[in-house]
Amino acid sequence: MTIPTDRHTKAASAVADAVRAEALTKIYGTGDTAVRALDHVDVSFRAGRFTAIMGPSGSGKSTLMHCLAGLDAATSGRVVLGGTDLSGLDDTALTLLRRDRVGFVFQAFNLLPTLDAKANVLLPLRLAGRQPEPEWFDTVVDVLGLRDRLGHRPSELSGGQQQRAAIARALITRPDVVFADEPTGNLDSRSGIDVLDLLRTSVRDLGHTVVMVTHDPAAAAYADRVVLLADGRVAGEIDEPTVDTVIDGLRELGG
Amino acid sequence: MFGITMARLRAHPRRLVLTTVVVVLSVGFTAGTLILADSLNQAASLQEMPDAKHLEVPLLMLGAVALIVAAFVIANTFRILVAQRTRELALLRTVGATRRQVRTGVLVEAAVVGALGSAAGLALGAVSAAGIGRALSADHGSMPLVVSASTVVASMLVGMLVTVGSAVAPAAAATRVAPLAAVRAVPDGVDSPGARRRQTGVGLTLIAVGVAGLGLGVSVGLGAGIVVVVFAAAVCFLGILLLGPRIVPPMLRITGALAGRAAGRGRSTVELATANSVRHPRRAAATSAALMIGVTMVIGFVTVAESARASVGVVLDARVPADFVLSPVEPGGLSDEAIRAVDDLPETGASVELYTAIVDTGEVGTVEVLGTDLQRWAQIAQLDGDGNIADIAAGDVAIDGGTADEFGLGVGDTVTVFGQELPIGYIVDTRTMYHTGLVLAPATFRALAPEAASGPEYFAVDTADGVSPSRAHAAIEETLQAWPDIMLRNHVEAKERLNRGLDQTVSVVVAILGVAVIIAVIGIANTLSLSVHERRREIGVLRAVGLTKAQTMRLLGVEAVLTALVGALTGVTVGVGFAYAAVLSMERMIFVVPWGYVALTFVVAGALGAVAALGPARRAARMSPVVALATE
Ligand SMILES: Nc1ncnc2c1ncn2[C@@H]1O[C@H](COP(=O)(O)OP(=O)(O)O)[C@@H](O)[C@H]1O
Ligand SMILES: [Mg+2]
Repeated sequence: MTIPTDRHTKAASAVADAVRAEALTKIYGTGDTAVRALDHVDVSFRAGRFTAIMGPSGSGKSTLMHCLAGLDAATSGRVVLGGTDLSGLDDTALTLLRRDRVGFVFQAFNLLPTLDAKANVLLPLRLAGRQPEPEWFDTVVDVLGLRDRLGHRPSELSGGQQQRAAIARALITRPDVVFADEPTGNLDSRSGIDVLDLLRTSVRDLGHTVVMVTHDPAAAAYADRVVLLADGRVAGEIDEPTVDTVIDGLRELGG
Repeated sequence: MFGITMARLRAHPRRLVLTTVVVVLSVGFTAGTLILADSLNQAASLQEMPDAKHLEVPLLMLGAVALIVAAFVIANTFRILVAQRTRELALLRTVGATRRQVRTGVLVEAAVVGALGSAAGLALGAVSAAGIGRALSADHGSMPLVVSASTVVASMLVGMLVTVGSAVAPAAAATRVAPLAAVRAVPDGVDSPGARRRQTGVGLTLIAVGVAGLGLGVSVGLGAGIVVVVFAAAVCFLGILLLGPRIVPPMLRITGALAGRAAGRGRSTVELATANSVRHPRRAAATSAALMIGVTMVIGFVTVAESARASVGVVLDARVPADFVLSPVEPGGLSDEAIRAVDDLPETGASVELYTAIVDTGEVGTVEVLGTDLQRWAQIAQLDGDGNIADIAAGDVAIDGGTADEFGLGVGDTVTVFGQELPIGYIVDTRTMYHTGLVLAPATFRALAPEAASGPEYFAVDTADGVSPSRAHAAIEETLQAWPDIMLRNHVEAKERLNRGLDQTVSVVVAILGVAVIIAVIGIANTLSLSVHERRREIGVLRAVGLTKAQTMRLLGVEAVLTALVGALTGVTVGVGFAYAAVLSMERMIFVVPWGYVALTFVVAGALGAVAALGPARRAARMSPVVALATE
């Protein structure tokens, strides 16, 4: 991909943004107790890339992700996801957008305990009343190594297996963006590495876009790019991060 | 600790509103039935309403039912309140509250709710009793309102005992809340396998004993039979309640699967709702049991009432279901002139004479033999059977289906009547005739039976077309003035009186039991509200991955409606079953399933379930999906 220089290629790059925030501001509460969680954030995430969001605790990482994913409404500014401006959408439209065009991977796995792994993976499609494409389902299940676990309930799966099922659930709709909030936070290091490998595979081999919030430099090193947040603002970026460059970047923030 | 409790009551008034409403309704119901029973008694002894005394026992039985339903719902509600406060109670424990203090706190809270609810319920009961009394006395004279001291004491005591008693188990559960316990699913519905097996064993035994008792009641028959049936039904019912956690979840699954198939594209929410509804078997069973009790009573009662209505001939002891029946005051026969005079009146239409005799036949033992013209009978009442009535030859005998089956007889076989072998020409369906035994043509009967000499024992006659029954009655009465030894029975009027009585009783009973059903529905709302509380993270996840607000409402609505429908289904099944035994024990009565009421029950149960879901569902839909991502 060429570096955008003129107006024409700038427009093209805008289309290639899977999701972007423009002057995004989020204020919790009012008056004296108001907290400015996001302060005029401008940031974009290119399609087909794996980006990590990092920053100190309370810097607004989760809030940014919630707003980008259409889970929460911003106070001002706008979010454009796959060419759709989220600010104009009502609750139902936002829900349908999340269902059809966004994937989620949570720290706490958050599979439904009453459904087996297969039903959990197919949940977004079922909610839409749609049938899965058999080939895509097979691809996702095989890439994530879930084949012989499909009939198991979450309580019968290890943490790593649950998180792989959650990733499969996020990928099954071929979303514009997959958002992951501390996806390795509840896993042992081996399972954590598995999950990060799978997220990177879904970007490199399956062509997905992943935005991941993490506080672990080793996890961030799996990404193509790191966006650093501090006090609700973008405080820097690191391309092709390594553990060392990430640690340095974070230290600069702290200092 | 009392201070802590009061502080909590004030801090969470909304949480206790539903419980208090349940107590008010239940105590109001009990007090209302007690006051009504006392008042009707008083009216009966004052000769204002001589029939009123009959209502006392049924009223008290209904009161007992309401109390059982209330106990179920109150116990479930307290369990839910305690569960919703797991966090708060854990907090109390961490700041130093002992187990005993926590337990006392919950019990004192129950006592406060019980006292307030009972007092309000007593007032509600008095007002409703006065209302019902006024409605009943509209065409039966006046009813004084009697609120005795014993009613006041009993209602208050019952309200307090049920409320505090229901809170004992949840209070014990509350003491098991560990300090620092995180909010998690309430540990109910988790019985040890041993306890489960014991429960199933006891439940099955009670059902077996109950069913055997029902059989016994049926075989005892008229009189004591119905008492045996009622007791056996109660035993059976206890067994069913104990088996609830085994029975209810599979029923929910089946009902949910059927609903899912019917839902088309909405299928996924129905499937999720079904899975949710069976997560706590004991909770699901208790919730639907409350509804089942009320529905069992309503449907059981209405089935017996409608069977009585359909068996009007039996109930009125009419030999022929004609509008009017003439019979001699003293044993003997009716004179020919009298019969002809009534028959010739322009106000009278189809008619038939009836001779009767008890005869020892060789083939079918000692039976009643009727001498009557079945073709003319068929003009008055629908007759059904094997063969063609018009083809019965003069010398043939007709036999009822039950007797024919019992002795293995068919058309063409012969029976010996009055020493003559006669061929069977027709087999009558007993239920269309309310008569067992043999039927001969009048001419044959007259030729053979010695009793025939004095004339027929009954003369049944209908009103002529286009004439009002009351005019026909007046004309027959006038004609019969010449024959004072003939008695005239007016079945039209008797039927109307019976139907009016049935209508009135059915509507009063349904109205009273309706309160029990409403209490049960509040129970559904309570359970669902706990589910929403426990599953807020799950609901958040579903909202995040694409469950719309409307689908969220549907998810919870379906869960409530499923629970209600399963409660109604068990109630209808059990109620109809019990009523069947009761009807059989009352011999010769026709059994009728009141399909209209059954359908209405399902519609009302489903609708009330949906209404019960409204509050919790709206709360669930309003929850932000961000909750799903919050880590705790
Ligand atoms: N629901 C909320 N209500 C009020 N303040 C909030 C809420 N959520 C987050 N905040 C505040 O917003 C700021 C950013 O929070 P968050 O996005 O969770 O940060 P991070 O994920 O980087 O730790 C913090 O100061 C936090 O306290
Ligand atoms: Mg966070």
